[in-house]
Amino acid sequence: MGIQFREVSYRYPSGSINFYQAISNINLTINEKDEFIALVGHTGSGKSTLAQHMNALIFPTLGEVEIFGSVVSKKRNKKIKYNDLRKHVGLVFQFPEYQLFEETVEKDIMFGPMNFKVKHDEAEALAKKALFLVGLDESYLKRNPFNLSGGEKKRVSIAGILALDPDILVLDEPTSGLDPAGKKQLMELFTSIQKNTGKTIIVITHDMDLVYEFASRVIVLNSGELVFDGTPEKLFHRDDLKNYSLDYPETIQVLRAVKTHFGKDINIYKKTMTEAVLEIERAMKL
Amino acid sequence: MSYIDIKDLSFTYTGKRMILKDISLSVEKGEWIAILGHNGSGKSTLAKTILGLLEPASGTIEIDSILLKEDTTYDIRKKIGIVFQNPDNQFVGVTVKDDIAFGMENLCFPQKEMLEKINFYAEKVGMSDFLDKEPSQLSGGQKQRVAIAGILAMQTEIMIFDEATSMLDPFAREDLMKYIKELHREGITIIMITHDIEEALLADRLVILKDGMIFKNGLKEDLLAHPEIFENSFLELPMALRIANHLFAGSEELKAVKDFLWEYNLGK
Repeated sequence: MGIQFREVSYRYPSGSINFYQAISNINLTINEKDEFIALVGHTGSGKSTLAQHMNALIFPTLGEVEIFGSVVSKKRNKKIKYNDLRKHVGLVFQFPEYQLFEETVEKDIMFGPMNFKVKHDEAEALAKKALFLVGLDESYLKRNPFNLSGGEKKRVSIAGILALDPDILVLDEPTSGLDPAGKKQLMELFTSIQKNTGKTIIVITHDMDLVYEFASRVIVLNSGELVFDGTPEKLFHRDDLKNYSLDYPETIQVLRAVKTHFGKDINIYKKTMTEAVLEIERAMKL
Repeated sequence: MSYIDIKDLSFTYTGKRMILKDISLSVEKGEWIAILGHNGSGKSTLAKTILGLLEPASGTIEIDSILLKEDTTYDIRKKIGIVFQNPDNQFVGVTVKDDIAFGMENLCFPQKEMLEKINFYAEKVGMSDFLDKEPSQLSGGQKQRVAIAGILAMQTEIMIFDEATSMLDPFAREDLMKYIKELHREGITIIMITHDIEEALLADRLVILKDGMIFKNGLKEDLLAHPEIFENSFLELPMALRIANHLFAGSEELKAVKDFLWEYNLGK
């Protein structure tokens, strides 16, 4: 099961024939369990377009996407119940906090399940559970979402998708607009949701420090093409990331500079500030 | 009298919790300041009150000797261009071209000049190939670049960037920073609102907000000498400085590494 992309290309409908191809010839398998995937690439590389294929919000121009057993291609298949299929993959858009609209947090989270014809009582229970998963307690249920802080709003909007109990959760730049502490907290939250539920989580991001510290797999898009699929370790060992407009994590950049300047035998592949400090202290003693 | 003069400014949405508390701040013409602070510290609210988008509970704002009041709001807005965090908040045009033109149209730029400027600034932000596209077809980062081009084209005396780089990839971000440096050299007054210290360190002066109040206001060199200022306001120093601050300086070699990391950070 999970999601399989087979030679998928997508071109946005537009008057101009020269309009750029958003993604081209993508082959990719997403497992339905136990993955924490970072989807990275420069602005306009096709990340969001790829993500929207994952729950059939858009249909491939060429090729096919198999989503939990249903094959989605250019031609709409009347046998496929697209709404059922979308239950498998929850998509959280950029700035989801702008999509809150109900008068209480509880109603907002329940909106999704109710739309999928879940009974009121059941939806209430799902809302509670989802709120707990995003690290907020029951006291938030009756609060007005518009009086929450930016980070809390983000959590509530993510809970709205979690309440649908998707197998795979896709988040489009969830950390943008948060301060460094907020970013870290949110990534830790995803890690714990991933561990507690076994759901596969896919996060679109530009932040390589977060990718290095949290992801188990990285998919890199460059001008619509898939150019890398593997572990963060393997990605950051490559020396050609500039070609894909990607930075190295800050720890690697700083350790590399120290290594070059002092000519010491330093292992530059450290994920956190503390690890980097210990490595420098170790190497400089030799 | 400074170019921008904010005195005892307070703001509240509800009448209870104060979002801004007694903010007094002066900015000189041509200065580049960064306003830093954690989420919810009041940074964006401050920008919105400067523009007259929000009405302060008390205090005054004067820009270029014009006191901000209901009947002077338009005169003051003509002087200020602002780029918001989420480009969807400032899209109005049917095509990218229309969108870049919108601000200039409001300022009654002549048609010919407008067209030249559209091409010039689209080029600057690398969106020349997209002029006839619909903004809705663009990625988040591309939209942000279009929004930036539209504001730059207005050539206002003051530019406010409110977390403007949050949706850009590192290279697009570097390009924008280069361009802001150019604006600074041309004498434009720049206010950058951010929680990214690396970005903030490009400014001459840092103003750190914490819980709606000015926590620190000073030259960056002076503030950086006290890393605890940043930690106490939930801000994260660049990795090189954090490593430098945590290294045990027990030997000459480690002291040399510390010095090197400071140099490295300044050179970036």
